[in-house]
Amino acid sequence: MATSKPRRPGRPERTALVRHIALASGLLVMVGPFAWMLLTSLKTLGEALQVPPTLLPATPQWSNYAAVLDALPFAQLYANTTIVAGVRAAVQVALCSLAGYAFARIPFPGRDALFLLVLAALAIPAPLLTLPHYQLVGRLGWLNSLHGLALPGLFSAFGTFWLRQSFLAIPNDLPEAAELDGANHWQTYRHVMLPLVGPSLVGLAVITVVWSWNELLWPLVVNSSPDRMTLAAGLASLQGQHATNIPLLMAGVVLAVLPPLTLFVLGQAVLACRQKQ
Amino acid sequence: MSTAPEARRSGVALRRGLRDALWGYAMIAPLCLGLAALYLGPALAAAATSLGDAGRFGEGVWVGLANYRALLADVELLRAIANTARFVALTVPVSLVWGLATALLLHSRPRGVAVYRALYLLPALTMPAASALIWRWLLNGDYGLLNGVLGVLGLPTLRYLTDAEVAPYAIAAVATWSIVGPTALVLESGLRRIPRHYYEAARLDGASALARLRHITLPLLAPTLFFAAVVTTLLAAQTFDLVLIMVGPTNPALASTQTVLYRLYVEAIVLGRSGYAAAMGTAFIAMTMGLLAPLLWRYSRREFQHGHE
Repeated sequence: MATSKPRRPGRPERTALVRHIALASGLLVMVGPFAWMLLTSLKTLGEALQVPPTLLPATPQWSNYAAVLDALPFAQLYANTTIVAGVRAAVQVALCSLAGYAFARIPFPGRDALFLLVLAALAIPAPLLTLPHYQLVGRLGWLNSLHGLALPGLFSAFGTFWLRQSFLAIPNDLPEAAELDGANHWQTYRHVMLPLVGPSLVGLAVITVVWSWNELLWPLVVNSSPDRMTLAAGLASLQGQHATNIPLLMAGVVLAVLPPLTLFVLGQAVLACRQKQ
Repeated sequence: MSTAPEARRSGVALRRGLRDALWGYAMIAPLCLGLAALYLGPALAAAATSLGDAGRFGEGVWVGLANYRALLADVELLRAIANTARFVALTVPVSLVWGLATALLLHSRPRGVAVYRALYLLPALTMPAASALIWRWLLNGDYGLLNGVLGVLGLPTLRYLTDAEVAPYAIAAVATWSIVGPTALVLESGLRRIPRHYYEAARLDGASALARLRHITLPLLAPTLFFAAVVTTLLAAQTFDLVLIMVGPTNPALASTQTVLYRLYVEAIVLGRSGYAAAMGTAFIAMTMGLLAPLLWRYSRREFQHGHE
């Protein structure tokens, strides 16, 4: 739905500038702590603890990063985390969009009550779920495996809720026209409605990947072998061993944050290029 | 006088009803079965556990509703409920307004919007434990950057994480900071679905930007805004790792910052009182759904009556 804005002299430039200033100020708050973290990761412990705080390190302590890479098998951790996150995103997009469409547009008996039950899952506090999930994965014989790790994240009430709201926001005339043309629900869903909620699908995939990336408690509980560990679990062990070495910890956090951010920026760039064509 | 057309119509209606039901159930089946196994099952099991006084290893005697009666008398829990309510009241409105403003700005597609979007997501991309660690360092009373800068400027410094009065606001600020990015993302995807010709028609009619916001954007964004509000509220109500890492058990500010789920964590994992913790968890779910369900019901009713508006 790309349209071009008509150009009017003078006003667009000033509005654009104001917008940039507003966005950039917000950005400073968002990103500032990370810049600080990056700087801290390159300082010595003494420099980090100085009062008043020094801004830049005297010499960048890249040794902090070497120490972190030494302590953890980063390549394996990245691979594990990426696989789990990817599978979860794919499954969630498929299942949540199917269910979300049905909840939004198909009048079947008991729909509202069932949807309320789906939402009830959102209200369940995480600490109550860890042990039952562990027992379930154990009974399936999937402890210490990537599929056992991925299992709880395959089904999402959040995703269903989001997709249902997205489908609801589409005007009625489009699917109704499809139905008049004789399309059944699957065809309407697949060819008419699904393309229209693209942004929500992408958003859900992104959020699922991010959440999987950061998940800590579950990977710690379900996997005990280091070659099945995810990044968050690896970092937790780093925190356990080097609790007071702030620059070292910060270096670990930088290494953990860099890949998803880079991938995300690259993905956005690819999308932007494709849209311009 | 056989009403043949009517008979045919009701036959068709029956067949359509059956078809809808079959399609409906088929499409929701994979998701609902998965949710039932992974979420509702454990919740029911927790409810069952809450009726006993099970300890760390599951052995327990049936005590009926004794655990629930104990909940009402638990002073720390009541304090935690107040803390959680305050936390939600601080975090949700601010993150919604800030998120909406950001979404509107991003939606206007300024130069480098992809970079802005990525960087705004940075707090959410980071592990909560890592974010908490960074902010704990920034807000440190003695060595933190914030107090360092304030000190250089001659402004008063505060003990953000150890002062019982200030700490709740500090934690709410960090929570808001990490949720704004995804909120803006969700709201922006909602904005993108609003057809442009509505705005063009309004502009032709001479509507100001504020009027366009009020009469086009907000009503059409309503489903997405509602979704964002509900999810943010649920997330805020379930905060626990921020409190655990930024405040911690030995901190004097704990009493004014510990949330309901923090108490649950203490009861379930630190103290090992499984029965009592299960009661707390079940009550939490019941309370949340009790508040949420009427809201959703009223909202869905309006959706069905007005179609898409």
